[in-house]
This record gives sequence, structure tokens and C-alpha cells, in this order.
Amino acid sequence: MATFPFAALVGQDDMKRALTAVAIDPRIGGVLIFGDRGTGKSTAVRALAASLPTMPNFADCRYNCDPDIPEEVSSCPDSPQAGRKLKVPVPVVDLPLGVTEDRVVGALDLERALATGEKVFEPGLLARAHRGFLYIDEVNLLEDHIVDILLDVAASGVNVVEREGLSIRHPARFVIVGSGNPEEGELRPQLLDRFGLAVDVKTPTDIPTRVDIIKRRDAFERDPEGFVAQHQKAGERHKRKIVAARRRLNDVELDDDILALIAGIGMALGTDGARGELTMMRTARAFAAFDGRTVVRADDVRAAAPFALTHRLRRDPLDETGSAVRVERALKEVFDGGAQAA
Amino acid sequence: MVAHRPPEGLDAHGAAPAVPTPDEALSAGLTLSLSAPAVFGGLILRGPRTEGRDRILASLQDAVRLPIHVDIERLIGGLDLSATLSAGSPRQLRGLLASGVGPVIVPSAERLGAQTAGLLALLLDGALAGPHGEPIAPRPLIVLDEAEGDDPPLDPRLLERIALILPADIRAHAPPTIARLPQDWRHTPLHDETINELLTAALLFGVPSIRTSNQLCAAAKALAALDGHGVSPQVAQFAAALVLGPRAIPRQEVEPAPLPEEAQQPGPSDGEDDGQNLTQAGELRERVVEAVDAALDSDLFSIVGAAASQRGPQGRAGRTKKGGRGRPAGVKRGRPGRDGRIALVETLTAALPWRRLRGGPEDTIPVRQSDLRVRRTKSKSATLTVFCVDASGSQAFSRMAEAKGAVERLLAKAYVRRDEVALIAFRKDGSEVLLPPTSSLTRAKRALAALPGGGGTPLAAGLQSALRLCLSAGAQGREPTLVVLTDGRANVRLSGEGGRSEAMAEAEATARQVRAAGVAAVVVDTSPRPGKAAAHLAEAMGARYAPLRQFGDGLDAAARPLGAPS
Repeated sequence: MATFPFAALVGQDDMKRALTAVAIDPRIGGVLIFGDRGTGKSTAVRALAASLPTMPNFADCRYNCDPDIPEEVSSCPDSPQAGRKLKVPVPVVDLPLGVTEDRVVGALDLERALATGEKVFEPGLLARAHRGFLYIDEVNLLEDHIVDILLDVAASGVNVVEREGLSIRHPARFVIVGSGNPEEGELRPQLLDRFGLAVDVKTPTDIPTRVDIIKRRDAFERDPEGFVAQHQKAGERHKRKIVAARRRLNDVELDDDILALIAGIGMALGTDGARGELTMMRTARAFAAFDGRTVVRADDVRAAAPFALTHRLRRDPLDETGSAVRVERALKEVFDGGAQAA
Repeated sequence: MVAHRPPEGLDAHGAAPAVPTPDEALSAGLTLSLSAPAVFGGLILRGPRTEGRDRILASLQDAVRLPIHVDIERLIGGLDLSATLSAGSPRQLRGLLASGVGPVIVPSAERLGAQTAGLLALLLDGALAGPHGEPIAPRPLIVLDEAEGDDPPLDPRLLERIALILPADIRAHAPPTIARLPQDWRHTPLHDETINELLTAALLFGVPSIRTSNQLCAAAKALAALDGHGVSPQVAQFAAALVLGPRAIPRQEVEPAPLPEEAQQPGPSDGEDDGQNLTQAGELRERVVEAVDAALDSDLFSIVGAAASQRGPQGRAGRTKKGGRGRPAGVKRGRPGRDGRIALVETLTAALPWRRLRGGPEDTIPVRQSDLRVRRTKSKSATLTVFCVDASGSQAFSRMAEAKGAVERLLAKAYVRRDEVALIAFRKDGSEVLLPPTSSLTRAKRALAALPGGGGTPLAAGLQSALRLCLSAGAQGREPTLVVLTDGRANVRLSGEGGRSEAMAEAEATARQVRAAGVAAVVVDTSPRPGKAAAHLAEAMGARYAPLRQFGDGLDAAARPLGAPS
């Protein structure tokens, strides 16, 4: 089945930039997408994954181990060394609400246990999402204990299962993309903080944009392959830029002024902990790399800040000002203040 | 590029808008939903069970009916424990959604848990995978939404994805004609102007979802393909009535956005025929709008109900509580008694694999503490509807009787739903809780009849006490809905002093607090000529706005004089 091309998505630039940043540097962490239904959140995630280069894989490895990382291969529970190599698309795994812990982390293979009495581990969704994306629609409705597991594993990159007499560890590095409608239930602040970036998406309300969206959707549904081919060039360009940015990432420099700027923004907003600032730094670096540079500029930081900070502000129930406005205000202060000092 | 060609078939002016008859709507709805589930999602049949509905369901080929309480294994597949045990070797269960391609009937959809609804939404998105990651193709959902009384509304994810909504009250004598969409229906040409008009109509009727707009255009194409004559204005009207009709908010309540003007310019057309194009486009829109208007059926209750559902308990998917009451909400490891009731089958499932390893007599299953599973339940939290009524002088003279009538009807409705209600009135220099939360209809009616009128409008004070009541109800685990009846013209400040602009500012600030607290709210505009003030208040409050005038004859009848204030 063809996937809607990333390059053909209309508008929603914030969402596209945030997703592109985590595709370049997965260490930025997950992305939270808040907004109305039907704004193409899941389409964008699938489109991004499909726009990335395919990844090598062993045919007989259920853990998506990376053949190019020897430690991963040697410690893989499926020991796939002899296996045939494949090229597979970057996975996007959907996590349904109400999913059980067993299905997420993996569990004893009941079938084998019943038939032969063998204790064999059946990998779960985390293994399937390794090196890809884990998409959760309406993450605010997901059970808290499942969200905890996901964020823990996403942060450590390893899934450890120690129960039912099983002892398994396998790599699970993936980017969580959670969508949600804040009106239908809030995420706990400590969970919010652990998503790297947050973006707001809104249904466009101007007719020409809406017409454009509908026409592209229609063209895609009418002839998926043709539509994909039509946008292939732009897609290839985006892919090459991401690949180049990944390669460049470790060479991107942050000088002291930039670090001071990042710290200043964090202080101006009084964000708790260093996570916001770290994320801001990584995101700014990804933006610079995507832009083909090896030096982070102040405008990279400015672009990264709202993504990294909006969801990390302390809620003040009496202050009706939205977080986005507060971030914008602080940025203005920091940047204009800096300009005056210079 | 197509701007010079008029929309097809405009010459065929029909006098009446092309609103589908019930029979036509049913045939079209079934045809579209059954032939293209990935696009239209399926069909929602709304209302209590009828013979006609059952006849239709029985006639559906290869349909599978979901059990009301169904777990994820049964839906997408997994190990079939009972078959495995009796056979002595593993038996896989094919998931209901994975076996077959026919329609899936979802009964009592209003009782569907968030989990099942989420899985069904994934199915329609083509994003559902079986236990081993095998994709499961979209299938048409025939959703039976029998919500009434205190039932929660249909899960918003399904409502958003399913294009077609029809009443379950089917009285057709002849069986519906379920046609097959031609293979190339997607290729039916659809003019830019027509898309423009359809999308404008969608916004005009307060249906902002891009997904629905996409389905609307697809419906126009599909209907035209069936018709074989291209997308005529009639077809566009038919599609709009079919897709937008059941979702539309009465037009007057939608913010008069500057859309019509914007859409008046259908692209870069030039010269003399510009004017002609304009009229044609305008005409088409008018007719589309007419069609939806005619298909529209809305009243105050559905609006209040929708507001409650927006941020209400269902959005939160209810609250999971320990203990024995309520609907089942999954199984979890835990200690029976402390964490819930024991889940016997699951506990045995957990213990079974270890039978040989743990030893013991041949015909026993040794159970360890780690095997224990408990069943959790979810009980719907009670709801409280807080009526906050403007009893000021301006109000008393113009609309008091009608406002009382509206409250009384809403009270009756709340009573049927076994909700609790509370009544707050504000006038002169402050507000008063006339009726603390109660489920007694009689008390509520008495308090309402005795509602005194006259004096200034301390709107902020009224909202403040209403908010306080809502928050304390929330803290006790009840879901509050706030219904404010006012003309929105505050002129008394919190301090009791006069001053229109300050009073308005305070009212707006309080309204924002209501919004920040996440209380679902409705503002019923009671001014004789619904105006900006109340609409503005509703916006600040994040509330639904409903002018009283809109509720028409039914309400006037209900708004019979309630007797003079005592």
C-alpha cells in the first residue's frame, strides 16, 4: 500500500519541522502533537517514515536488530548472524488504546509453552518499533502505566523483561509520536516533560488551503502510485537532506554564546530541570544540520525553543495566558535584550 | 483552468433543494459505506432499534456482529484458550475483524469502550495489525448508536471517521437498492468551484474536520458516478445533505466568519463572465446550504449533550475505579479484593504454562501469587448540570418566562438522565445558589418558579459561584456541565458597584477561568435579538453558543408562563 508522500503535505510546517528534527536526531525524544482530529497527524508520521531511507535488517530477527551494530547483533535473543539480510522500510507501529502490557513489552509465548512446555519469549510492539516510530493516537487516553513503560524504554533504548521466569533484554530505540486533544484529558506534567518536542496543529480554516488539501488527498486516493511518483523528486531531496544532516550532526558546533542563549531562555521561562534546555540544544543542532551548516546560529535556537519548551512550562491556573504566548514573550525579551546589549 | 466552464448542469434548476428522501438516503448510505469503507468508514444508524433497521441488518451479506463486550484477542486474533485446552494443542483464534471482508455490525455503540472504539478507528485508518503484525484491511462499520437518556454519546473517533449518519427509524417498504460503485468512481471529475462550494458549506455549518470535507467531496463523486451524469448541483446538494446534514450546527450559531466573501472569488477568472461565474457559484452555494438546512434537525438538547461530551466523562473515557461496580475495563495483575475482583480465566491462563514446571498432581493447576489477575471496572461518574440564570431587570421583562421554560425542559431532560442539577441566579448586586445540587425535579421546579427578577446584571458574580459549584462537584468525582442563560450584558461588578465596561471585563475574566478549569459549558443567549455580547462570552468560556430564539416552536410551547415570582 502506498503512503502519502511527506513532500505533498500541505501546511502544518511546525509538525513537519518537529518530525524532521527527531528523524535527524532521535535522541531529541518523542513528539507530542496536540490538535484537532483529522489534521493529518498520523498521515504525517507515516509519510515521514516512508520518506526515510530503508534500513538493513535480518530476515530471521524479530527484534529489528541493526546488522551494522555488532553489539546489537551479538546480543540479539534471536542470534541472527547467519541470517539473510533485507532492506526494510522504517517501521511505524501503532499502539492501540487498551493494549496490554504483555503486548507492548512482549511476553511468554503461550502457544509454545502450552504445546511443548518451552519457555520462549514472544517479542512485543517495542521490538517491532525498534529503529522506527511508535505512534499513539490520543496518548492522553492511554493508561498511565503503559505510558510510563514506553517513556522509560524510549529513554534508555533497551527493553528489559524480567518476569514469569524470563530474562530478556533487547534494544528498543524508537521515537514516540503521541497525538492528543488536550480537551479530552490532560497528560501528567511529568509525562509531558519527557516528550522531547510538542507542537500544536490546527485545522486550517481558509478555503484555498482546504481545497488544496482535499485535492491532493483526492489525487492520492485516485491514483496512489502516480501521486507518489509525482512527488518523488521533492521526496528524494528531503531524504538526501536528512541523510546528510544525520552525517553532519556530530560535527555541528555550539559556541559558548549559543549555549548562554539557551540557558538564558530557560531561565527567562523558569522551566524546571535541564531537559528543556538539552532538548532545545539538540533540536537547534538538528535544524542547523538540516540547513547544511556545521554551526548553530541564534535563529536555530529561536526556532527550536517553542517546540522544546511550550509543554514544559508550569501551569498557572489563574494565568489564562497560553504557554505558547509565554514562550513567545520570553523569546522576544531574550532576543531583543541581547540585541540591545550588543 | 476550469474557471471558465460553469459547473455542470446548472441549467437544470430545480425549485426545491435536492434533499434525499429517507429511502434514497438509505440506499446511497449503504452503497457508499459498503463499497468504499476506506473512504467513508461506514454507516451510523442512530436511534432505538426498529424493525426496519433489523431488516436491513439481516439483509447485509457476510456481516459479522461484534459482541457488546469484546476483548482485543477476540477482535484481532490470538490464542484461543478454551479450544487449546480441549484440543491439547495450540489453537489460534482468528480475530473477528481479521476474518472476512464484509461489514462489521457494532451494536450498542454508545456503550463501546474507548479501547474497542480505538481499535475500530485504527481498522478504518488501515493501521490495524494482527497479533503477528499482519495488516488488517478496512471494513465497513455499521454502527448502531442507540444512545438515549443517560447514555454517553458515540465515541468521537468513530463519529469523526464515519461519513454517513442515518436514522435507525427505517420505514422503507421496499428493500434498499445497494448498488456497486463503478471501479473508476474516484475519477469522476469534480470542478474546483464545486469543491469550493462544498467546503464553504462545511465550514458554514460548523463542520471543520478536513476528514469530513474529504468524505463530502468523495460522496459527491460517488453519487455522480452512480448517477452517470457528472457532479450536477443536485448531486452536490444530495451529498451535502447526506454528509453534512446530520453533523451541522444550525447556521445562525456558527460565527459569521468572512468565508462567503472569500469564496466569492472562485480563482483568477477574468473579464465579463466573471459576474456570471460569481452568481453561479453563489447560487450553487445557496442551494447546497438550503439542502443542508432542510436536512438539519437540531435542538437545544443535542447541543447541551454535545458540549457535555466535548470535555465530559466520555472524553476521559470514564474513570477506572477499583471495586466491583461498572463495566469491565480490562484485566491487570494484582491481588483479588485489594485491587478488584479475581479474573478466573486470566489467572488460570497465567498459571497454566507453568503446570509442568511446578509439578503437582496431574489434574490440578498450581496457582502462584504472580499469576493472580484481577478485573477492573469502570463506572460512569455522575454528572451535575449547573444552571446559571440571569434574573436581571432587562432579562425579567423580555425573556424570563422563556428562559424559565428552557430551564424547565432541560431540567426534565436531566432528570430522565438521572443527573443532578443545581440552580444559581444572579441579579441586583450578587448571585445566589437557589438550589444546591439535587436530583429532585420537584425542588428544582419550585426554586425556578420562585425565581425573582429585576435589578442589574452581576454576570461575573454569577459565573463565579457557578464555577465554584462546578469545581467542588468535580472534586467529588462528578462531571459538571454549566449552562448559562444570559444576554451577556453585564453591568454590575464583583464588588457590587455599577460600571458596564468594568463589569464586562470581570465577566470575561471569570469566563476564561471557566475555560481554564475545563468545565464543559453552554451559553444560551436570551436577548431578544441574539447579539455579540453572549457570543463573546461563550467564546471566552470555551462554551457552545446557542441563541434561545433558535429553539422555535417546541420551546415556545414549553415556555408557558410559570406563574408570577412569589
